[in-house]
Amino acid sequence: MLATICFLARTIGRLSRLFGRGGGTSLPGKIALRLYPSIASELTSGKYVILISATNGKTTTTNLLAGILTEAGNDVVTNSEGANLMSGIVTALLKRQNKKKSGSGASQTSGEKFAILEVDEAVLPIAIDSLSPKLIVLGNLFRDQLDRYGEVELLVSSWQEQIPSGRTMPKIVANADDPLIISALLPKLKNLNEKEKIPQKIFFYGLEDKSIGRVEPPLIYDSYGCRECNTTLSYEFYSVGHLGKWSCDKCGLENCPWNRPTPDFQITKATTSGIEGVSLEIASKHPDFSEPLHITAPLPGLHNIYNVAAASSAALALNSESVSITPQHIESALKNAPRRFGRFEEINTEDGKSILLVLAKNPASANENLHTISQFNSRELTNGNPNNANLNFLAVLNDKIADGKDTSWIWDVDYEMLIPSLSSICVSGTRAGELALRFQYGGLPEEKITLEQNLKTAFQMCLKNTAAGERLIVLVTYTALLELYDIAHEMNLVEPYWKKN
Amino acid sequence: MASDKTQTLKVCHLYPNEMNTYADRGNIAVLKRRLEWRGFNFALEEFEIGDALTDATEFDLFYMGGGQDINQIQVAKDLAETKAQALHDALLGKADTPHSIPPVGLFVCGGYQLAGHFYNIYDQQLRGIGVLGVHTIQNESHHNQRLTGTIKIKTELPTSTSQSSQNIPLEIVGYENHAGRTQIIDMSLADEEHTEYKESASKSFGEVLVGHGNNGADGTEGAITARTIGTYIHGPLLPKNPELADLLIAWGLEHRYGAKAQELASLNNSFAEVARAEIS
Repeated sequence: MLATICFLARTIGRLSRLFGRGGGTSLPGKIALRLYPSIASELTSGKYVILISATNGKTTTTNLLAGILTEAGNDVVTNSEGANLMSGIVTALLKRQNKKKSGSGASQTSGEKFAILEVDEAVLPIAIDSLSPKLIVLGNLFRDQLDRYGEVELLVSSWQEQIPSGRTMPKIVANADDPLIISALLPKLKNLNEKEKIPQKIFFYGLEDKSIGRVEPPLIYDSYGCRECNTTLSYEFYSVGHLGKWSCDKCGLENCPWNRPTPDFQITKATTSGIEGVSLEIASKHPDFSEPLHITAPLPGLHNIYNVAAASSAALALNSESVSITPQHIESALKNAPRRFGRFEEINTEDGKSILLVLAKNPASANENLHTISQFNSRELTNGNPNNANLNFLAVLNDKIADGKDTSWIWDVDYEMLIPSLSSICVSGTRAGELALRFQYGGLPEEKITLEQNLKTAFQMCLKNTAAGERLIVLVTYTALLELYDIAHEMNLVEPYWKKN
Repeated sequence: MASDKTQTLKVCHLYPNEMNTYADRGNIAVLKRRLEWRGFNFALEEFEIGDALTDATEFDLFYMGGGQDINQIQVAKDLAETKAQALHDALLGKADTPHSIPPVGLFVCGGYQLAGHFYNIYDQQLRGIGVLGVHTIQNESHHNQRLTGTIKIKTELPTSTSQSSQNIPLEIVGYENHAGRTQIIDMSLADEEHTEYKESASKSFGEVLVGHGNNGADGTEGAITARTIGTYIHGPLLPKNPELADLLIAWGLEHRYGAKAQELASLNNSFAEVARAEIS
């Protein structure tokens, strides 16, 4: 049965690639699950399953952790293309199964077999149920796709109730800086008695370097008061959105379970250097890592400090088990981490232009990306043409199901931080008009906004207006990114994304 | 510098930190820009949890946006303690105003639910401001079947309180996402004990053309009493509905300046037209 389904899946994958849509990253799995509901657990049997969930940063964290474990000589299967519903997970697992059958990509390694899978926040309970992970990584929760999820709080309670506790509880690596993650883990933190702590089951990572934190609270945040006493949280500093070094001043006593835990893995130093990426130091109490890790990664922005910390902490937490991971594995895997799939991904054209693709799909991710861009120096903004400070900018908003049908989130994005440096902007996508309104009410005069609903026309026009040696920055939603890959592929600028990534 | 002649609209934004789920900032931005583009002043004051609102008469427009249930519980408690009475009296025209014209209220989604008399979340009852003659109920089956999607309604609203006032027909578009079901209270059946409900008697804000509206059953959307509008429509509401935005601004200026309120010059709404057409 399994063999038949693998064959079928391979055929479907090829066909859907032939038709040029979706790159075959979900359809085979969708059909396989329909035919054979227990296929996911069968495909992961004998593998050490790690699930990674968060509103933002799942794809990057998954790719980073996969890179580290591969570097350490393990056999890794992952859904690196960001298809994170059960259908996408099963597709990734099937693909690997087929590769092995055909002999290519078969494991040559002697290490452990890992399945490192990013999972949609709402799907996490189902994925835990069908894949029985040994480790889960919980990054952050922000408002996102509320047309699907209803409220962020509904996700918090679903995680609270459905992440297994007690004997079946997987090892958890979690972000101490997100009060919503702590809320989601609250019942477990309350029940952890000393006996359960050894061996340690929950590991936290968090930012301790105040110098990179923000003093001002974010414009919007999704976490409010202490769950025990309702007091508004205090912050020593903010980092990404409502993340930061927080505490409850009223009941933040040592015995209060609801407080920011002291991180097991502490980011003691962190710096961002424009488009070049980030560097950080991670210190831990782990006996094998008495010296802090010194990591540089070519991934720009403060949010990537968290992604790097999440992947490194997960690797360190694994170390006590059968795998052996050294600081060198982590440092060298992260040093060469590729920027994939619209995460500040650069495409260079033959005539010397640079296109920077920036995926922004909810207020928190968009705000971090804009922060990152606003800290670029003029050379980085315009790609080395300091005499021409003209910023070439294309923003695309789609409202397909994968983007979220409700586009109101763009009004929570702080485009205002970019608007003073814009001499013009082009807006496109299925909701270009909404985006034009956003920039207009954000203070950009109407005549500086070019509205072109057709993405291909808009992209070609913007590229034409970008001189050789200049950079075009493209801010896109998820489905717009897929469309843009198709367009860029047609123009011979890139390979199709399912080959490329 | 604004001259003495420059007219000002003063807006009170209620709970911007707690009640902002559907990008409610966008509605405030529209009010601000559309006033400033025409040479008016825009003044804004924000009231959070714990800030007492004792004198509501200095504001021309009150705004409260959407929030999650967890936020609404805290806000309802704070409203009762620090703001509800002043808001109730001002919005129903019971407070002293120079021209006897009540100020404007705009309450969206969670804000709308709290502008009514009560909101029952399962067995927990939240008391609202009681300016709109509605109540809202959420039980488990509602929770499992949220009313979500594109919404279009039609309505007619008067331009002013004067003799020459006209009714403007409007088609309002946006998005809705709520678990609570809202009913307009039939005052002829209102309980004897609740005679105070009667002064809040509401009509529906509009008739549903596409979507669910108040409860997905009776074809009504939102509620209006005096110059207070409650609605489930976000998106946010005002950017794509500039005629409604201008009407609220005109009402607010009339509250402040009476017959001396300056007329609003017309603006180019071409992006809004495109954005409305994009909604499928």
